[in-house]
Amino acid sequence: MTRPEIIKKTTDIGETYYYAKHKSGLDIYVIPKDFATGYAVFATKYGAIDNCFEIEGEGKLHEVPDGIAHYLEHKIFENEDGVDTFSRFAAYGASANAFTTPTMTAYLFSCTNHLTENLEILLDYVSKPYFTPENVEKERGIIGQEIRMYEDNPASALYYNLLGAMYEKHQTRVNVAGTVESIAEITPELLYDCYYTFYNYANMTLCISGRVDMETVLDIVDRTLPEREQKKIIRHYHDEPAPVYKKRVSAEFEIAKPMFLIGVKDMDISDDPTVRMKKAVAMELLTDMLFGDTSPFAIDVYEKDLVNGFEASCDHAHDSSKIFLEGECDDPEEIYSLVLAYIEENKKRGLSREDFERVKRASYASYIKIFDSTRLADRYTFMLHDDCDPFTYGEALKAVTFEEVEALFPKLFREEFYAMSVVRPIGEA
Amino acid sequence: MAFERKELANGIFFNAVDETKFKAGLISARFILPLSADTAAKNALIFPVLLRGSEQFPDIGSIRREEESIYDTVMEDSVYKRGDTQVLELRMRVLDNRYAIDGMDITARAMNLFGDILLHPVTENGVFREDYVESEKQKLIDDIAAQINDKRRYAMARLIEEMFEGDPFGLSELGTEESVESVCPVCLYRQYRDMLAHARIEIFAVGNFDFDALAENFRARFADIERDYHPIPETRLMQSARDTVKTVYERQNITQGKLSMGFYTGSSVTDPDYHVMQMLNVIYGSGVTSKLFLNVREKLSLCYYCGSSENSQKGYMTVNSGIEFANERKAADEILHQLEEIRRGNVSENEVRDARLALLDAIGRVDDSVGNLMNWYFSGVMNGKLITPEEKKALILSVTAEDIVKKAQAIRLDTYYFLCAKESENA
Repeated sequence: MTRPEIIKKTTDIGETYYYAKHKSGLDIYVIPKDFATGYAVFATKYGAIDNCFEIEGEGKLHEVPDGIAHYLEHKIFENEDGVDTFSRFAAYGASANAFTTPTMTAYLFSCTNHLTENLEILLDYVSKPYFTPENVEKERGIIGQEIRMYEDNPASALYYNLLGAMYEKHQTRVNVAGTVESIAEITPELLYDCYYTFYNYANMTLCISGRVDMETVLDIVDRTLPEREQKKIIRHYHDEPAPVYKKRVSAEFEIAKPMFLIGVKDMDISDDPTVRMKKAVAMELLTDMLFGDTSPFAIDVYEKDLVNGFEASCDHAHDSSKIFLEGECDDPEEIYSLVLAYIEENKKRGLSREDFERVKRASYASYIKIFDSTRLADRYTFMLHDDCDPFTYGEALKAVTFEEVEALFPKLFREEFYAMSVVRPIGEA
Repeated sequence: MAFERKELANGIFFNAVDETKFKAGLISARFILPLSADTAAKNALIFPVLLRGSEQFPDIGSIRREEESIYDTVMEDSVYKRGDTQVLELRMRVLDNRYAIDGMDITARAMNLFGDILLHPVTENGVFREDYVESEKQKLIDDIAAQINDKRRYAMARLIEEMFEGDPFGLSELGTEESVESVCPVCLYRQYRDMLAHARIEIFAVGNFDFDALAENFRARFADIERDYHPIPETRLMQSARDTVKTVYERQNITQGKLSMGFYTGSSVTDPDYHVMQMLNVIYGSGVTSKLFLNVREKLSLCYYCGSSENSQKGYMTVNSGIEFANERKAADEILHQLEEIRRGNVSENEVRDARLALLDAIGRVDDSVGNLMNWYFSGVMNGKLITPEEKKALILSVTAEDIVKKAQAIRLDTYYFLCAKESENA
């Protein structure tokens, strides 16, 4: 059997990992770690935003119902012989799970024994779809309850309402689980169409961490994965203007205090993964400097009791780029004005080099701490699916300069990019 | 990996878990106090107020800047219930010194901050600053009020409140809005000093540290505290189930019902065969191969989640599920039916095997995180049952289907709670 080339790399903090491209097209990453818990993630670059696509050479446009990637995730657990996938893992003491995001669907397990047997089960069940009208129908009730659960969750409404306000057309606004109405349209045929499009191995990754080596993994992949045609997928994302679609959106729930989520929309996303990684790092530091725990803003709203649980976060990837500010407060409009005034004031005064160094050091420490668990396979799959090499993150962090962060500031923070979602207690004006 | 424990002073224990594989260690101080209506709110406020300012770092800005400067060593506080006690914790995850890019002794700087926050708060007129106390009271009141936001957790908390009405365990670890309201700087400071004098204090250091130096550091810091320590009373087990099930319906503006059922088990960690109860819980409703998951969710498609959990301290078990309002009876019947199945002896060898493997797997993970290691040994010393993960595995392996069926006979439904829609919307 011909073996692919195995590439070995060592990171800036002495962690080693291996990469190989299997002949099926599958990208395989192995991160050996001397921890009892082994962790594996088998994932496809297919999520809620991929509802409009074609396959190169076929010339046919597919438009599928919202929530289908997530529905598919549920149904992959079905097996033709009727044996429950979870019980197959349970026989080897593993915990299995799966999740769907806007850009990926991931199947994973962790275990302290029988890593190779569990890996074989993982590859086997994900690569053998079995959808029937009966088993697809059965799932509608379960997913319907999952959707209802989120409908009662104010944090979830706050989040999806904001995406709907920020994005007018782009699929980032689509709810991962879909709606009770959209999932009603899902059939076995549609599931098979999506499956054979997106679950071709050239569109997938396998990332494993634990007491395991690449040779063993390649053996298992060779004997488990059925032959499958490699397809080139053309994804259609709707064109999206740079400014936000709506400035405000609000909902009412039975809650105690208004909740707010302010989003900063950024449509300047490079096709080059190296450029994206660089920008992602700069954006994280900028967000921390302006709104992180040590920022004058976070300290001020804490000390003045203006916001409870204030948090700032950001993400920058090929599909979307945004900054979030959230918390609970009596008057969201007041907080919004404070944010605006604070940003303008900082633009005039300029950023502090001392803050930059301190925040960068803290980020570096958080990055090292990730290596204290084999769960890093999970987090790293996200970066792999953005075509970024997660093991170069430490170097990118060290390399970023104050001037780069400074230059990013006025480009990101402009009023036409801001939107706010609010959830108020029922009956409050 | 090695575990060592010593008493630094009366009721102050230092626990060292020596494990070199981690890049960041864990240092924690847990204060264990009786849970009572008079002190719950005050106790819940102590650490938040301490984190507002210390002698060297007098405001939240200087504390947070120091945390970032020492490689993101964040001081995290928490408060939770453990049986009839309230546990207050301050902890920090400290990056190993070998990763310092500037040669800093990170552990020493972290210990300085930790000790200053714990033992040298900012004071005015000999007590906590009034503005700090008032501000933290407001935040705690907001947190208590916000418990209604997450319906799933709210239903679970309400079940416990109803089930343990009149028992300290029925109290919230945060206190009530009214009791928080009545706290003043003088009485809070007094409670803080009481905590230092009376609490059982369990200090943990897990990772790659100079443990002797750490123990000495803590000993010296606590040397000035006048201790008056008496062992905390044992947790009282839940009383056996009432004659008629307590039923509570609560109505809110929601779209999915939350069903929470509380059962008396009479089985707690002090029992020699407690591991049988753990096995029973796994088979009944914990995880994706349990009877509840396979039947209530997979077979009847009634819910997205339906699971059980058992409490090792008070001797009870709960089942929680999110369902359509109209399916209430159907779901409740099936939940009870599956318990009846176990009682009737319907426990297969495969179920026993899978449950064993699931628990062995969980035990196998103890070594893999500083937090797991601390919790393992903390439970051991608190329960007076210090066993190694290997010894626990042997106990799990000894459980048979018959043991489980026998254990199930004692279980009775005690409290039934349903969070449902307002009358008019209830179809």
